[in-house]
Amino acid sequence: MIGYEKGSSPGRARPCFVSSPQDATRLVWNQYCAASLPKYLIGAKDKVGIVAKGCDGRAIVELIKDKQVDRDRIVIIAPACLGVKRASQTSRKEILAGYCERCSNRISPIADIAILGNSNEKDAAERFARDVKAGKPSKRGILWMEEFQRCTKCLACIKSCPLCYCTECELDGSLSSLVSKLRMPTELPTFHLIRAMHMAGRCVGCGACEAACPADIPLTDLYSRINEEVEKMLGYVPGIDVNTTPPVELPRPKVEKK
Amino acid sequence: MTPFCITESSLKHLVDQLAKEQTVMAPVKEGSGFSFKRIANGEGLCLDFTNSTVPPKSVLLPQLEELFTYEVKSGKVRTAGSTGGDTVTLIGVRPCDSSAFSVLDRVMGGEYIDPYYSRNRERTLVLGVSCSRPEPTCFCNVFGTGPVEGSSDDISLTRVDSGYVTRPKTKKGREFIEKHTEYFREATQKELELFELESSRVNKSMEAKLKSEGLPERMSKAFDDPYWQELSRRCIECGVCSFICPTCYCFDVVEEVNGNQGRRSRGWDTCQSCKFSRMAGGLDPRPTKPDRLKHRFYHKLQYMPMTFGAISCVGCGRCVSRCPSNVDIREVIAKWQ
Amino acid sequence: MSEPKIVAFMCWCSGSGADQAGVEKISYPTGIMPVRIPCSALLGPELVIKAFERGADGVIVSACKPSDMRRVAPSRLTEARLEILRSLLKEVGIEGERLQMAWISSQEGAKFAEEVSKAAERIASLGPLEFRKVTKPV
Repeated sequence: MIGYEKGSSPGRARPCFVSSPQDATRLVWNQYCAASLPKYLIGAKDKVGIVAKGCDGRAIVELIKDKQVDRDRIVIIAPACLGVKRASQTSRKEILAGYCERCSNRISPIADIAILGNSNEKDAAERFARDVKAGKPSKRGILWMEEFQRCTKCLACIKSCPLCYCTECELDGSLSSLVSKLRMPTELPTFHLIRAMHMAGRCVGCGACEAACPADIPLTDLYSRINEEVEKMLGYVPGIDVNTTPPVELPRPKVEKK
Repeated sequence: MTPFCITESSLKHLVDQLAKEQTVMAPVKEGSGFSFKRIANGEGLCLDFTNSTVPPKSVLLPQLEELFTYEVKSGKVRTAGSTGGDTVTLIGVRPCDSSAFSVLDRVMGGEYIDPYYSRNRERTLVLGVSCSRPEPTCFCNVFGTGPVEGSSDDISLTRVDSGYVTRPKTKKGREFIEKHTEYFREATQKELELFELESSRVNKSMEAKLKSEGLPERMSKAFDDPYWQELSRRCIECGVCSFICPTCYCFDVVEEVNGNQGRRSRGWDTCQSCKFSRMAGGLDPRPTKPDRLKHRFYHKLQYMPMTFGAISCVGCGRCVSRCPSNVDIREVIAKWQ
Repeated sequence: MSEPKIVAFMCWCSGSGADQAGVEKISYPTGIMPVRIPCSALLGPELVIKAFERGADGVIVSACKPSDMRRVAPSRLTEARLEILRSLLKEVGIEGERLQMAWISSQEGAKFAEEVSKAAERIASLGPLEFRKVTKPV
């Protein structure tokens, strides 16, 4: 069972792997459960249970479509999510993550067990869904080339993304004619532009990349903008229906055949 | 040398003057965090921060550093080494990061001197500033690397009401104060008392549950513990820990070739990358994630003390606050306590 | 402005149009660097982005006309992909018109020169691209 447990500092929860009923008391569910758990499903050998927020459920839908996860070997527990809180860097208060404000569905589109919470939580979740439909679009006017200059080329965005499962990543520097392994300032926009194209019509807005980024680059704002274009052009939204096939116009990850 | 005091405005004027003659680097707000960057004048100096996201080791060991360029002409190879740079006054280094410089000095110095690091180290003056507001993730007190003074400070500054109580710690520091004596005055008795009170307050504000005594020996007993498998399950091998760690120094070397010209550079690398220890022929001494994560902690807490006589964690807490999976070195230290 | 630097990715067939233009001595702008690829649908965004990073003011992708194709037109795929890439470029502040697509059949030397010159003109009218100084979204 992959879920969340209390973290080591106030305001943090972290992934935890429970393999016995006694251990299940470690599991928690709160607004600090930011990590994207579907990442850990890839390559899992046994039958696995997983706690999936709305965005995590969308990631699982994509992974099933991509045949990286077998639907029959996972049990999805889907709680109604109120969004993930992050410490604001400017004040010391906690704020709702930007990508949560844009979320299209606070509960996973696929689930074996859905938990709607007590009535207060359910109300909050419904209110939240209404607010979201009122449409908080992705931020406009971000100076992306400036944002990219803060990038540390740590590749945490790629490592934390549940949908980045290419056996050999194109952007890790092995293809040195494309981007270097080192942090060459001229290549920082190239790295991010290529990544954004790889995420086009695939990103489900879970925000794992933003949570991992040490430079706090608002990556999901960029990827969701491109997704808006893909939806307009091809009428396709990722993460909703397991039975749709992604349009052939969109990029596909490269996985070694075993 | 007795302690001095420099007022806030004198410090700004000093920076104004320095910035005209040399490079002054200080913490600058960038995005939602802080970054050590060159400042143009005293107005750019802001010491109201906890710590930078990327540590100031980037001044001594840049994330990207040119080693040399070369050109092949008529069968001959000509190389040109990088020329180093300006004198640097580095202001606003927290005690943990300053103490980290001492760790890096041991690795980059000693029997085999890294010429690029040495050159950067030589030309940099470290003005350390005491912490006043440690984060819950800070634990420098465990290793004695803070929170008031760092071991590589050339000059240590501690804020009191009327300014910064200034203690020169090295010959370089003393010479600096002598050269800019008009900005400093002797600290008054009251200021010294305030300094003592402030040091005491900051020290007491930090929890002291962890013990670093005997840590290398404790680690040697734990090498085959199944704990490492368990801990590494949630690690995503992103390597952020290495990039923001003030004592990490591993680097990779790349070459850019364009016709008959080339440039060789080095830059930061991370042992958490699955390719880090791959060798020609396919051998990999750390093929799995538990191997690599375990290595990080053993390097910091056992191999470094054994080889260089210094524990390589300074308790800055950056990895604790930024690890996406909340892998916490404090839990590792506490595990076999 | 001096001749814009343009990289032209040409599929095999439209590339033969370029050869034909050469044979017939039909001129087209000299700032164009031709790169021949087997099929335009093979072109991922990576090379286009890299071309801009390396100093191209514009990129032209020339592909076979769908009417020349037997069944499925891979060049339609290219068109859609480039449109997605254009929206990304616009978002970061690079004009979408810097990425032009030209539909050219093989053996059409004059057509090649004409299409490519038109595309080059559109790019030239945008001025040089200072990739590193790009700021506001378009």
